[in-house]
Amino acid sequence: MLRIIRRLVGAAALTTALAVPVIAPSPGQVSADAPTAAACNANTQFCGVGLHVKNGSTTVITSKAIGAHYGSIWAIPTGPNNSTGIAFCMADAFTGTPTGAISEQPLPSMWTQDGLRKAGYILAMFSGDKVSPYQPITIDGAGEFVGYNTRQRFVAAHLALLSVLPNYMGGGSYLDLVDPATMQLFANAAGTTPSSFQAVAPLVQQMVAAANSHNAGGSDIVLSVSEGAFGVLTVTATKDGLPVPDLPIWPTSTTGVSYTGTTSSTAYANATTVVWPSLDYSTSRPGAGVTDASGQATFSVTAPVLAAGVEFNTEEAPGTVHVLGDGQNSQDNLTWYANEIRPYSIMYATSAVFELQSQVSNASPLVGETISDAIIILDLADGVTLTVEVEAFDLTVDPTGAGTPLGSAQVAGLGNGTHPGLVPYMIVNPDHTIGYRHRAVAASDGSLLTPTAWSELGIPSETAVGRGLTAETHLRKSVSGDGTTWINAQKDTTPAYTPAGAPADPRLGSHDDGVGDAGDGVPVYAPGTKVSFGYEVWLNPASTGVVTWPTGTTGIVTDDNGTGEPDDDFQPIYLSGDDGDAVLELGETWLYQAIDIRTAVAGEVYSNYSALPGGEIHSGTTPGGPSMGTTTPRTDPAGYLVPSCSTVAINPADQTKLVSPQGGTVHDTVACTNLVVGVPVTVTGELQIRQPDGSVVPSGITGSMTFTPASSSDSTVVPFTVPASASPATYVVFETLTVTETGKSLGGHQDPNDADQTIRKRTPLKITTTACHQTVTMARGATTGGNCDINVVEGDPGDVVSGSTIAYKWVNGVRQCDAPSMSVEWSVTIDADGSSTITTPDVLGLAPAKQWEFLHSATTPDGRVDAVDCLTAPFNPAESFEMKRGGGGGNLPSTGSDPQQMLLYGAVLTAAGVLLSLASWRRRRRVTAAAVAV
Amino acid sequence: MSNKRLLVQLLVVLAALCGVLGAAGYLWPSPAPAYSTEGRVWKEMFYEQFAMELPAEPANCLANEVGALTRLVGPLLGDRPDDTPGSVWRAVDVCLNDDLQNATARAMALGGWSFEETAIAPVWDSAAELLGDCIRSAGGWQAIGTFDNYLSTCQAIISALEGGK
Repeated sequence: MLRIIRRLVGAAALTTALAVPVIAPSPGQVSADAPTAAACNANTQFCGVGLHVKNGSTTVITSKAIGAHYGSIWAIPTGPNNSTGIAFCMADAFTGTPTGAISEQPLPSMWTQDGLRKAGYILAMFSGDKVSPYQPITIDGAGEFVGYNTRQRFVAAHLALLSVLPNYMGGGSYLDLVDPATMQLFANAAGTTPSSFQAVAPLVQQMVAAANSHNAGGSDIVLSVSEGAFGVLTVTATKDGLPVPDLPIWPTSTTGVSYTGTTSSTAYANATTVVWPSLDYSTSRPGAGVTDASGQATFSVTAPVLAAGVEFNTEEAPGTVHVLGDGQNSQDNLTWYANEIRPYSIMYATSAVFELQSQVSNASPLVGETISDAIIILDLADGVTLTVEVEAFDLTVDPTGAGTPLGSAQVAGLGNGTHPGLVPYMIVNPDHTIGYRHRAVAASDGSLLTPTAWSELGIPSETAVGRGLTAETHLRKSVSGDGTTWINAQKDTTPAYTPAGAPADPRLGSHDDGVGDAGDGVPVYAPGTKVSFGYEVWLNPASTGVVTWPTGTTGIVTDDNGTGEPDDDFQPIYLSGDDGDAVLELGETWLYQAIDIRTAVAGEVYSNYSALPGGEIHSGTTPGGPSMGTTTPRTDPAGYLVPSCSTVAINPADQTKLVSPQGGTVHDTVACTNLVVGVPVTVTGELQIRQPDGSVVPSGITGSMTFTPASSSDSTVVPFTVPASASPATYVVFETLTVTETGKSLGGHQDPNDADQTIRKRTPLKITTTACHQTVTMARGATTGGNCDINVVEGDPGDVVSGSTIAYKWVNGVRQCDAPSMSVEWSVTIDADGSSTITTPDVLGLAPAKQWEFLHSATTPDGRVDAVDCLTAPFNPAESFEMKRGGGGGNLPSTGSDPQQMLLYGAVLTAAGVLLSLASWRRRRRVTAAAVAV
Repeated sequence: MSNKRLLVQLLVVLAALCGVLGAAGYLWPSPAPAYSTEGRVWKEMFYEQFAMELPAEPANCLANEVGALTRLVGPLLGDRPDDTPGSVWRAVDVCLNDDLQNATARAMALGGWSFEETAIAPVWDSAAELLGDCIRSAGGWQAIGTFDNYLSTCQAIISALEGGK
């Protein structure tokens, strides 16, 4: 039993061990996941390293991954195809890293042809999975530089490339070239830790020196063959008249041919070490030699081979590079590599009495171009000529030349020398192989008894493969508000206040009504901006033909002026780009412009399309020849937006457009359209005082508000504080819209006649009063009288002012506030001049007194008050008057008993009594005197 | 007990054990998170510039936090403005654990591939924690905010490390 338990425990332990989690590698992913030196050296996916590069003490590259990309993770072909499988990032535009595959990109415009040719050489010779041997730096049997590992070579190659082509940073910006002579490498971004990769500096210098010394003029290599001693052929390679050293030369067939050169050049030693591979390592080159410093390689050839002909071949590095998207390149998705090896070939044959060579004029002609054969004759006796027969066949349909030739000629009288232009043939079909063959049929001295054998059909030196003649044009339209910064506003791009300028080279940006790229955007202009449009036309880089239009450069671009109506279309003016032949060719960019053709209007959403019709495709060598097709018509849009703002100013306290004489707040609601969502803008305003003539003057009362639009049409409220000291007047709010961050003006709203923008600060109610009479004499017998008051009322025109007037008596210097007179009510409407005068009805019932005084109280419906407080108001002489008891008719109506009148009546009666008494007393004296006399 | 019976018992026990282990998640581990397309770009950039193997989770997190592939690690090295929708400096705070932050800080100061440099190798292991702590003690990556500020904030440590090479 115990044994059974042990077995069970053992089995369980075994089971547990088997159940330990096993993390399977993610299938299909090739990861650059080995951050160790050893692993990186073995890592063919990425062999780069982050470096900081200085020329001496001057920083050129602050931090950049330098080295090779390779393999499936970069979507770059693997395999032993030397340079075509390796990529180096020479464009760090950082304008966005697309994550999908992209097609081949145009070359940065500042990359010169000279730099491109040197870069092509560096790529082909030094940057592959192995080093090409035909160059002046020593390699080992594995195809590596002696003393350097693969990773160091990739770093050195990248630095050499950066020494001939400036690193492109996007937007027309480039870094300086690396200077191999003073180059200093640092491991950290700050450039303080020297890198051990400094060891590659001598290698970089050698690479760049080799590229410089290579005759990379872009011209084709010319091969020629001469016979010295019988059977000893010297092949010479020249370019632009200069010898080309370090070139591989090999015969098409090694039978009867052997290299006899004694060169000891490094290229020769390299090639023998790695067994004469081709430049791209794709095949071996048996029987090959290498040209010496004179561009020559010597071969020994047997007599039968001489008689039948021998063909020699060579190849060299390409004259340019290609920029391709690699799908997942985290640097910028732009990388580049060279993928061309240019082949050359020549045919040589001889007989006992002459030597015969031939070379087709163009091995890869375009459709429409004419090729021909050249016959080169050497070593004929003086005065002797040959009759040579040449035939051309379409080897695609007649590979053995059994049928009727495309062309043939039997040319007599050919002496020593080169005889080009034989059997011309214009290429009709793309991809068809055209082959020439030749033979000598007679010699003028009769020494050639029978024709020589036909040369072999299909050999490289006598073969041409037609290329299709294709061409496509491209059109980019851009817009500018200042004539300097041109914006590529594609249809799907979003508005921006300061979109990035379009790339100077239109090939680098979106065009042809395509999807906008990261730098595009619809510009937003202020009203009044003068708007111009630019139009650029160029050929697709893959075009093999050229393009013409019936009217040359003029009148081929049409702008629809933003409408579908053809009558308003216009054609921009051609400015530059053509080399004078009115033929659109590779490298040309035809520029058209329509300057200041529009003026931006508030609220405008403008988009116009330009159109380029299809052009006729021609061969570049015979642009006046027949049309080989038509290009695709192109269109491309541009446009702009202009914000528009409307404003409504109110008094938020009462929702009116009036502000109290004591001041208050005005809220101006500013609603704008065509704004950029998410970008803060600021509305700044000032109240303007409207003058009688309609003009306005600033008030100094300002307000502003910053807001971030949530949609293209959004609004904000700008508050203004109107102080009490502000003049009563009509105010108009002027608002200006700016981009908060940049201060760029976007217009605003400034209409002095816009009622919505207008508010009025009320005039305070002011009443100036004067009693109608300073003295009132009551009518005789009246006990009370009355007086009226003259009120001059000031306010806003149209104000309806209601008031009352009451008289108070002064007794012993005290206003008798507790004994007011009766009140009279009055009402008046303010005239247009801001004032009105009203005379109140008489205040009646005023008893005689030395001093009365009117006090008033007045209001407007909106609450303005002008009132005099009885208890506190100072004495107002203008409102003061006296009520006198009347003795006559008085000057005012009186009512009831009048004490003065009564006294008057009493006095009259008393006087009458006195008079009567005096009369009675005189009569008694006269009676008494008469009695005495008697 | 016959061999047949023993075998049956053994199978029963094994089945039970497998059930227990399976329930505990041992037999079929959860698959590692996959890199998003943008996360893979971040992973590659960290490898190229910092010689760091960024796992999928922080790589994807960086992609989500930063929100654009226009600057990548450029702002961390002072090469590019930090003007993406989300700051990469803040994203490091959010997405990278202390170990990854330490390695990033070290790569920024001394160079990602400097472990290969014989002059740096002696201080390589200790540098990460020192520099990561320096940043955290200064308030974190978002607080540091710029490459120059990082260099000035941690200059004493960097100088000591470079001096000790």
